[in-house]
Parts: sequence; C-alpha cells; structure tokens
Amino acid sequence: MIGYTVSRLLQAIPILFLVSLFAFGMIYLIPGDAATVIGGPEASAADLEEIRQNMGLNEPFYLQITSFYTNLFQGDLGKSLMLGTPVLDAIIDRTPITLGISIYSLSITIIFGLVTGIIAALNHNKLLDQIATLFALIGISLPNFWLALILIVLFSVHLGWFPTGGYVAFSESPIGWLKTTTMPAVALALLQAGLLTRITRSTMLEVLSQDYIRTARAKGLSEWVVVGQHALANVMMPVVTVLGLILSVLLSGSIVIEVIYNIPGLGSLMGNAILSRDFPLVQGGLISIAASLLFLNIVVDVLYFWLDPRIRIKSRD
Amino acid sequence: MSSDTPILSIRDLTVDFAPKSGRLPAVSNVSFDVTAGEMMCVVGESGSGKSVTALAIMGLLAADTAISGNILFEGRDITRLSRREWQKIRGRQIGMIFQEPMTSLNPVFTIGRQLVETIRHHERVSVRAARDRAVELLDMVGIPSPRSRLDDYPHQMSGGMRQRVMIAIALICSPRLLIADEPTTALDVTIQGQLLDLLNDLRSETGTAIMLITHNMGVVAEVADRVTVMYSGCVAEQAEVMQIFDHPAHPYTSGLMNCTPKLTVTSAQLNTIPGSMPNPAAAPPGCLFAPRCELAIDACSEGRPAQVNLTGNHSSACIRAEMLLGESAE
Ligand SMILES: Nc1ncnc2c1ncn2[C@@H]1O[C@H](COP(=O)(O)OP(=O)(O)OP(=O)(O)O)[C@@H](O)[C@H]1O
Ligand SMILES: [Mg+2]
Repeated sequence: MIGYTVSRLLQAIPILFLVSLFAFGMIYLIPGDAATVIGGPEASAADLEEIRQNMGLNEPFYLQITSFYTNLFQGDLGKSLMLGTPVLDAIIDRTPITLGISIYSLSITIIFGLVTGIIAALNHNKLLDQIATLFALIGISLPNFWLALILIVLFSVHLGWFPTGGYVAFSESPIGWLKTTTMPAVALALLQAGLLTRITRSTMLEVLSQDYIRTARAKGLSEWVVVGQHALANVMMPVVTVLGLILSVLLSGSIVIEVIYNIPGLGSLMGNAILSRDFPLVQGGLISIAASLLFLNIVVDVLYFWLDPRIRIKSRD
Repeated sequence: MSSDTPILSIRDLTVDFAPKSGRLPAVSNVSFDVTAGEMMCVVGESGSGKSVTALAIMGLLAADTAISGNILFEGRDITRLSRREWQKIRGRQIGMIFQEPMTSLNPVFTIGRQLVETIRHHERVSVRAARDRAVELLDMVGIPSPRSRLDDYPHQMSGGMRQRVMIAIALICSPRLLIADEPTTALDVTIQGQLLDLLNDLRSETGTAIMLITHNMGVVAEVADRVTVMYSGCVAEQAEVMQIFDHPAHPYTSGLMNCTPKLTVTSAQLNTIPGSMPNPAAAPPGCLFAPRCELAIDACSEGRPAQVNLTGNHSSACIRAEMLLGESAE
C-alpha cells in the first residue's frame, strides 16, 4: 500500500514537469509579442518595454527558464500583474473557498448519484427506473451555467430563499456559508450526479446478475444485506474510478460557476486572470490546479487499490 | 422420518422464460421426489433444464419468470412463499452449491466473512464462536490449515478450494436437502473425485439428502441411489440406479450411457448421440427425442409421450419402453 502510494507519487513528477514546462512556454506559444498582449492595444512603446523588463522577456532563453524553475522550486510563482501581490499568496487565499464548494458539491454528487443509481437498478425497467434515467439525462444535458442562472431566477429572485451571489466564510457564519454555497454546489453537482447515476445504475445491474449475488441469496441473507453489502461493495470500485474524472470536471466547472455567483474562489480568480491577461497568475494557477488534480487522482487510485483485494494482495505477495 | 418419505416432491413443474413466444419452456411438467438421506442424480445434456429446475426449487429465478406446478418441501408448497419465508428456508433447510466455483464467491469479501455472516444470520452466536465454527466447517470439507485461510480472498484459492468453501457454506445449518449443481464440472478429474467422495461421506454422516446434478453417467454409477434423466426440459426416465444401468427404458438414457468415457476406451472411440436437442423455437410435435432416436417409429411423432410406470418406481416417457425392457431382459 505504502509502496504503491510512493510509486504513484513518483509517477506524478514527470507529469508535473510537463505541466510546468507548458505553463512556462505559454508566453512563447501565444502568437505575436507577449508584452503587446499583456499591455493591450493602448500601451505605448515605453510601457511595452517596461513589461518586457519586468517579466525578464529580454533575457536570453536559458536564463529565463532556469530562473523560472529556480523560483518554482522555492515556491515563488511570481507577482500577479492584476493584484500586485505574490501569485502564491493569492492562490492560497482563494483555494479554501473553492475547495469547500467542491467538497460540498462532490458530496451532493455522490449521495444523489449513488442513491438514484441504486434505486433505478433495483427497479429495472419500472417507473422509478425511467424517472431516474430521465433525471440523469436532464442533468447530463443541461449546461451548468444555464442551470446556475435558472436557480438564481427561481430560488433567489422569485422565492428569495438564497442570495443571488456573494460569499460568507464558514468560520464567520455556517448558515451564511450554506446560504451562499448551496446553489453553486447544486449547479456544479447536477451534471456529475447525472453521470454518476448512470454509471451506478449500469454497474449495479451488472453486479446484481453475478453468480456471487445468487450465492448470497441462496445463503438466505436478506435483500438488504445482499444489495447493501454484497452488491454495493462491488459497485463502489467502478464508481471510485470515475471520482477522479468527476473531480476534474468539478474544478474546471467552478470557473464559470464562481463567476456567475460572484464567489471569490480560485475559479473566479483564474477567470479574471485570463480576462486581464495576467500571465504570472494564469501560470501559477495552471500549475497549482494541475498539481492538486494529480494529487486527488492519486488519492482516488490509492482508494481503489485499497478497495479491491485482488490488486491489494497481489502487490503484497 | 422413514427413509422413503419424500422431503422434496416436485409435481408438474413448468418454467417458462418467455410464455407468449410459443417457444418450448425451459422446464415442462417435471415431477420427481427426493427422499430423506438419499443421493438423487439428475442427468441430461447441456441445456436440458437441470439448473433451471434447481433454481426454481431455491426460488432464485427472476421474479418475472412464469412458474407453474408445485414444489413441496417437507409437505409444504414453497412456490407460494413470500420472500421472507423463502429466506428462512434457503441456507437453513435447503443448501445449494453452484456450477461455477470461480465466480460464486464474492471477490471483495474474505472467505471468513462469507462464512461468518451466514452462520450469524442463521444462529445467534458471537463473531468469535462463528469463526470457530467456520474453521470447523472448512476442516470438515478438507481445507488444510483452515484458520489461516479465513482471511484469504476467493482469488487466492483454486477452483477446487473455492468449491469446498461453497460446500462448507451450504452445510452451515446442516440442511435437510443439498442441491449440488454440477459441483465438479469446472474442475479437473482428481478434484472431481475428491469432491464427490466428500459429498458422499457428508451424506452418510449427516443424513442430508443430496440432489446431484451432473451430465456424467460415470458419476451417476458411482454415487447415485436414484436417477432422473432430463431431456429438453422434460423428464425422460426415472429409476433406481441399478435399474437404469441394467434395464434402461428410454433410448436417450442408453445414448447417454454409451457416450460416457470409460478409462479403457481411447478418446477416438468416444460415442456421441448424433444430432442435438431441438431448437426451443421450433420443437417437433411428438417425442422431443424422436429426431435423434434410432428406434423411432411413426407413432413417435404423434403427440408428446406421457410418463409410463414400468416396474416399482421405474418410469419412462418412451412409447416403446416396454419393448426396450423386454429386449434388455432377454
Ligand atoms: N434466465 C434465463 N432466461 C432465459 N432462458 C434461460 C435462462 N436460464 C436458462 N435458460 C434456458 O433454459 C434452458 C435450460 O438451461 P439450464 O441452465 O437449466 O441447462 P442445464 O441443464 O443446467 O445445462 P448445463 O449442463 O449446461 O448446465 C436453456 O435452453 C437455457 O438457454
Ligand atoms: Mg446447469
């Protein structure tokens, strides 16, 4: 188990290197001159020269790349052009907000996806199955920004249950946090929940037709134990594998959702950074989001490894 | 209970997976008895409805399957039981061992857990006592150093070992009836012999009646008290084991016996029954075996033959049964 975790962590190193290389190369990949793009159409020649000077664009290439990596290893991602503060600080400030909403949203996804998926499978081809499948289909087909707007119209404008946007930290007021994060979390969750419902349903149907389920019934066990223990333990494995995917979609979805709900998280920070061509911030955000996704995927893999005795024990022997 | 009281009595069991399709039902009008403590073998080619019959007895067929007829277990009709009442019979009074040892155990639970949960489901005992009981059972079915095996997962065991675990699970409550559906088909010949001996020993020690499903007449000759021969979902012949080998009264039974490999015969000489079972969607009007039967006469294709009682509890569904018996008696 520890050996496996370590080897997965080691495998992440080359990937992180590639991502950082891409982040570094971004300035060279954009067509034309980076300084012009950053400075915008109104920048004078002197302004452009200053930008070049500040970003070290006039240095020889090998110096630029070595200083990029030296700084990176020291945890220095440069200074944000838009905020004037170190990129790392900005990211660390905003991360807990996005993380909180993501975990909230992920919990909704898992609970809703698993429950409806299982109910659908247990009522295969009956009315409940069709309703669940329909809901899953709707969840998958609705774009989440559209859903976010509909939720605002319905629950904020008409019913007045939730504020239309903004954010209250959990430490300030848990109720306030719930009020400001529930709609964004739901809007983010729906697509994934639909996906998870379908995966859970089809996996459950397959598991229920397996010989060991018949054995469990032949032993006289109650349906509750047969489904809730024997079947569910086998359903969890494929579900855990898609969790990694779901997390990636959640994080990228958070950009749009945070902008719509005016939440000062990592997503809206990145959105603003892109719009205002804040290269250091985009670079830093890219690297840290990639690193956290990699980390989460490793957690998921280790979880999968731990769930499946066939893999776990082979590696122990 | 006297030895010839049936503990299981099946009457006119019909199982149809697609009732409106006009296809031949998977099992039609099957009747047989299993008496306490006996070894009753059910034989027949692949697809003859043996497993479906067994699953019907266990109440394990899908809920939308059309099942008719009666299944009397200790005098009680179990076809009309509620799910809850079924759960009291399964595992406790009727145990079952399946045809597929490799996939019949849950891959993500340890052997110990799968035994202990069953023991604790049926008896109010502590986990520790249940584990001790599990060790005893594993020891009884011949698993070496059973205590250390409790924490193994199924994939760490061979097919033969897994089938022994399945037998151990089926024996937990000392059931009155054990249904063993081709328990050895998927295993190699030496293991087959060992497991059959094990089942036979268990029967004489515990008095459990065993309904052993097989397609191997060699196995039948070795362990059976009585035999039910199935063909295309119907019973072809029923008799005591001696009667069936000495005086088969159905050409299909003779065919099965001729194609049983004997150690003295080389594989090139292996016989087979020519042809194959009728397509369920286009079954012949008369005797289902007639198209493959060397002894078929015109009368064989006029209507399904009924079971004819011959001597004692010997019966056959062949209109020429008397003639066959006369021949073998000469
Ligand atoms: N769940 C099911 N749905 C539809 N048809 C089925 C189902 N289970 C079995 N059958 C059909 O019923 C017939 C009898 O099958 P069964 O499994 O009882 O054969 P068997 O005698 O056990 O054969 P084998 O020796 O291969 O195990 C076959 O034609 C099979 O295709
Ligand atoms: Mg079978």
